[in-house]
Amino acid sequence: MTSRSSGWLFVLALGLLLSAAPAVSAPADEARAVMEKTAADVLAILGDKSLVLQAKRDRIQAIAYERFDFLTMSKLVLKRDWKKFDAAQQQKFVVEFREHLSARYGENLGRYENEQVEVTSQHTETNDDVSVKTVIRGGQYDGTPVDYRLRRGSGWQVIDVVIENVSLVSSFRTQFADVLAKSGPAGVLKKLEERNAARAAAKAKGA
Amino acid sequence: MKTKGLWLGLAFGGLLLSSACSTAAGPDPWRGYNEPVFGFNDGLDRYVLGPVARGWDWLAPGFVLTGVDNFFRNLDVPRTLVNDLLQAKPVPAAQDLGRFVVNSSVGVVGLLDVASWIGIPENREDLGQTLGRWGVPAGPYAQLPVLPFRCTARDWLAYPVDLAMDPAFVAGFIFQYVYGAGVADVVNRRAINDEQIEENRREAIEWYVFVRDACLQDREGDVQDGAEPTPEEEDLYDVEE
Repeated sequence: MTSRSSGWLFVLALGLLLSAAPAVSAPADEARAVMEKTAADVLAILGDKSLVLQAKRDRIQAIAYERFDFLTMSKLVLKRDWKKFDAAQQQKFVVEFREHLSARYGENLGRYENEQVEVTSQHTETNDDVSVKTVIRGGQYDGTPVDYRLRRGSGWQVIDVVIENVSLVSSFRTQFADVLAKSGPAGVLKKLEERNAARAAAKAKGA
Repeated sequence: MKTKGLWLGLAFGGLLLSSACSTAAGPDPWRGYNEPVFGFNDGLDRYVLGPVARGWDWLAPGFVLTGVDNFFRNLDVPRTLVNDLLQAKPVPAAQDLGRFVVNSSVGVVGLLDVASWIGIPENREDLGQTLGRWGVPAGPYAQLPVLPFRCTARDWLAYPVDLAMDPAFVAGFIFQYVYGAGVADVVNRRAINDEQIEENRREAIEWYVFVRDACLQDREGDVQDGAEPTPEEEDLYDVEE
């Protein structure tokens, strides 16, 4: 064996070792680590006094787009009705729903008062999902439990947020089901677009 | 109540056990009655309570709002304590007894939440939760005009008993200022949560359904105390391809 090929083997072995390292930890621990990092990243941005609010929003939105699985969330909130949407409507729904969620998170960022997030525990759930439980520390909402449910797709991604017992997916499901029963997929898309447009208009007016 | 404001604000959310949704009537068989009553209450909130609360918010400094809220939440503690005991929860009962003693004395008749500063957790229990704990189903969603304090048939039936455990109500009943105390509490709480409520009203996809399910899910969670979800709820997370 030449020294060159053994060197290559060494690198390969090292690479395998490194890639195997995360697999040693249980999925629940992996998901917890992801949420801890996400929380730390978001809090660092919020606490960065050199950034204006809009810059903070943009950066946090980028993290949210990466960390939330909006396609799965869309399928979960529409459930059986997902199939009533044609391909173009499905795509449209994901885009508008993502906009709706991230804008609503963004609106609340301005109220940040140096709250911290404490990750308290993690559990494996059905579908090999993991729920990561967190608690808000400090500020007006001190002590409020916020649970994230994560599913492994391309990395661990959030598919639901449960704040004080109230599930985001569940809440949207019943609201959309109501609109669907009255006015079908087109009605749902129209309602989402209206909400998003009204918010954008209010923002443009205020700016 | 402050935690209740959070989901109203940060989040986007309300509930229903999916099993309940699958039945034709769901948890809201009285919708034909509930929806107009909700509409009336919502109008009252929009045009009377909301403006009054914002006026109060403008008038009173933040620490006054917090103090008033602390005062009324402290008066909720006896009710919570009784229900801790009815649900056989000794540790929360001890916490709540400690909370009430500390806040009523050192906390100046409850105006300061000293108990939270020294790390005594805040619990919230009422007779509706106790009944749920012992197996009484929530029953249909139910709105009553003007009084948006409870939202299920079970909890409304339990409500008069909860009131009897409220020192402000009892004192008010005796001294004839019964409405004053209740109104002060409602206006103050509405002021504290104004931003979240208005934002949710603006953003909700279906306001009636949003409010209904948020209350039902919150109550269900209160009864379960955050226990592991039942299999029916798990169907929430199955993707149907």
